[in-house]
Amino acid sequence: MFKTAAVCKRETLAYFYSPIFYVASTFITFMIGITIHSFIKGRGGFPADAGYITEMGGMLLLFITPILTMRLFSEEFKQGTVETLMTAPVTDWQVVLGKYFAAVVVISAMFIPALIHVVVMYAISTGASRPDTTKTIISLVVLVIWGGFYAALGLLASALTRDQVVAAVLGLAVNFGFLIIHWVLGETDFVKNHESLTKAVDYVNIYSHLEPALKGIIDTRDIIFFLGSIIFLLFVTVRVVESRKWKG
Amino acid sequence: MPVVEVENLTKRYGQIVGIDGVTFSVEKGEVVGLLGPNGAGKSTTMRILTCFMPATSGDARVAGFDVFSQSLEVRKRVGYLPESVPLYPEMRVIEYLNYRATLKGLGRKERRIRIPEALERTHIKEVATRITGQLSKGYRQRVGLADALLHNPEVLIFDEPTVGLDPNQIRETRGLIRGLGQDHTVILSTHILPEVEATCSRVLIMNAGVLVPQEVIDRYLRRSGLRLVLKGEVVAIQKALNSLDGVRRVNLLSKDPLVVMELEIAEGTDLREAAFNRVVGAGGKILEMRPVALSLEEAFARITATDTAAGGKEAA
Repeated sequence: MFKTAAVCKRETLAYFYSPIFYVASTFITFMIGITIHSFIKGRGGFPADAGYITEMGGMLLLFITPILTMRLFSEEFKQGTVETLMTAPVTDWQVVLGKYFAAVVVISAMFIPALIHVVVMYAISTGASRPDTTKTIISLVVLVIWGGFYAALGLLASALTRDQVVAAVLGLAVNFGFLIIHWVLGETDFVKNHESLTKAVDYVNIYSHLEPALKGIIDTRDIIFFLGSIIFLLFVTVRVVESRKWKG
Repeated sequence: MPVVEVENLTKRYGQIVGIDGVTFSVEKGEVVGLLGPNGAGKSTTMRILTCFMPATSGDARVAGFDVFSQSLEVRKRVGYLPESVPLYPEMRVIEYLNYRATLKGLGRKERRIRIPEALERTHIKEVATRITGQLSKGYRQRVGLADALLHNPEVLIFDEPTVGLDPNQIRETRGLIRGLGQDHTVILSTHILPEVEATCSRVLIMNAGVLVPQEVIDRYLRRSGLRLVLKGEVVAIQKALNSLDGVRRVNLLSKDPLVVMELEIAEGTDLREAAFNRVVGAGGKILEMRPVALSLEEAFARITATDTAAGGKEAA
């Protein structure tokens, strides 16, 4: 427990020492601002909705998460610090979880400046046009879970290679894969004509698991989908880290 | 019971043999030097002992725990300084040691005692708040040493602990290691011979992935000679000494201004009197006579040279 926390703390601080966190956070805040502005205009004004933050934020995370997570293991391999890390009395799970939680903490922290938009939404609206608070909270939690899913993928990609660029590209490719499932695969006639295929595509389409929550509906199936995927990805990461020791 | 036991340890990297059938044991309180040319398998042996990678076959136990099946127990008892001394460049020395101490399971109170102690012992108090990425090689090395000492482990394993240090730092580090030998068991690797003679109580020589048997090292070290400085007829004296029982060879090292000869003699024989008589008998005058032993350096050079000539295995 303490060891996981120690790894998490070290990794989190390492992010705060590097410029990427600040660049990404600024970019996110700016982009979300623009999005909210155009959504409110395009969708006919208030009630404004924190779901806008989640929609845009999730899209940005698709690109940003692999770049954030690429260093988590690759850098240890490259610098050789994996040798001191793995010869300390820590389990592979403690290391993987520590790094994963650090990524989630950092992803969440990146959105803190963007919360100003939520404050503004509340400040400039009155009565019926006020955002729904429950929905706002759910939207923000969904955003963290969404980032957590990408982080687990990115962590696995990082454990697979000592080259950070390869890790980032690998993570991006998989994230794009999910986008393709959502945009292309689900829309093809072949899939649409087969009910079982539609269901299957729908199940692996992460966006279809996110949409209900963005409307304020919490479905246990979606929670299980995300939690299960994250645990599975972390499990595979532990195995990959273990196997590196085998290969010497 | 030995603290470190290694039996028939073999590590292959694909086709390449890293180490082959290495067997040795280290008793509590020993400072053992693992000596060998680059690529002899020293780092491989150490990485297996520290649980960084498993062996292909064979057993290794530290403090009675198997490095493979009881890896966590072994890691709790081993302090390891890898050859490259990897540090996180963005952390301060004190932060790094605090992090490492937590990973090693030290509580807040213990950390408050152990960290200053480690800083003190390795003489890095003055750089405690510096960023590790900006430290010189010598300081980095000592931060690595401090890290290895943090949890007061039974066994310390140092891979080339003095590489890249200046002469003063080398002397300090050797002194530190000798001091550690009093209540820890130390295994250190090096390819610098004076280091072993200066710090270790015992030496293991590795060459091309195999351990050179202790008898072979002893045989080389025991091979003795007699050095004579004299005046007189060189050829006659040489002949007289050559016919002496127990003399293997007479080497003429210099003729002018004084004759210097070295006799290679069978081990365990004392030929000083007989040699004296022969030289005097041949009309020579002895100015100086002293026994010479083969230094570790010469022994090492000969051992590694013969093994390579005999077709030693490829080592990683």
